[in-house]
Amino acid sequence: MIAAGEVADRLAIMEQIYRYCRSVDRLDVPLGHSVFHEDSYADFGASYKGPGRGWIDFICVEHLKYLHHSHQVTNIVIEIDGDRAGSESYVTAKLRSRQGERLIQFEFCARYVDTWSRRDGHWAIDRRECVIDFDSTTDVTPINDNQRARRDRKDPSYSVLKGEQ
Amino acid sequence: MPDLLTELADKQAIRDLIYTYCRAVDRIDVPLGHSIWHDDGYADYGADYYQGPGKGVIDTICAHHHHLLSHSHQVANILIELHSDSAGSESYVHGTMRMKRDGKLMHLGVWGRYLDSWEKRDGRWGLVRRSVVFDHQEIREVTTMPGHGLAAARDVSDPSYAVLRGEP
Repeated sequence: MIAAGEVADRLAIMEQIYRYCRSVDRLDVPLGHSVFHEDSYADFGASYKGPGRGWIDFICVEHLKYLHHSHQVTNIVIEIDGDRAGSESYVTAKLRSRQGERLIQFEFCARYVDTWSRRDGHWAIDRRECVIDFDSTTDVTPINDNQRARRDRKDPSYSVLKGEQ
Repeated sequence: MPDLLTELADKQAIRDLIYTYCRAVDRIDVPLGHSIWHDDGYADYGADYYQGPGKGVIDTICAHHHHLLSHSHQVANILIELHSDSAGSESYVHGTMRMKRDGKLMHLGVWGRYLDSWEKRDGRWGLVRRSVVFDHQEIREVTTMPGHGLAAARDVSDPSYAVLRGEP
């Protein structure tokens, strides 16, 4: 029988993984920082190796080069050992940019491989490695304009999550 | 402050309803889709698609899906904030749809987020408002691969119904 505490730990880690995606898609730097411990390390291969929170600063600026992007995480496997944990999450990231007349979509199928610790009751990342399995770029044809998605606090998700309708 | 087990159970109940929505519109199961909504729920899928009663959006989508060859709505990242008997959630969704157009097989891809407001009434969580935000979409021609696995159906003959009932 699994204890409620372990279920809660798993959910806390899963929610942090989702908050990471939310932060880099909405360009919410403080939210992204809350996913990493202060002394954490992020290894994104050739694009970035350095402090975990520094990655958030870097990627939120880098994302401004794109029109929009969506990071979707599935298959999350978590192994918990007391106040420490490891996880693997599959991520599919799609990013769009305009290059002249062309609309280009970059796609990454990758895995976030994370080491976690719980400090003062707060689960956060000690180390993240991003392993890219494959990637591609394609020309895409949009279906229509999407007016409601925003990359700031005016995105409608902020009020919905606060419980405002 | 609710106890930990109640909080976990509430979040799981909401997650199950989000998955149930996808299942309902993909299997074209209108009663299942209605079951996730409270009677006075409101759906805002944008002025160009649907704004109106929550249960009505299920009717509209299921009617539209009959004109498509196949479709799959996959929800990833689900973040839920509980506020005792109400909750807000954001769910990333990747929907793909196939249709024939001018003799070509076209593939529509939609990346969006379901922004949901929930209420627990008489012990039952239900949707009171959904806004759908689209991040990006595409349409392209595709080539099919030889099929494998069981054939999918968009009615109760789909093999998932028996499996979920616990029938081997």
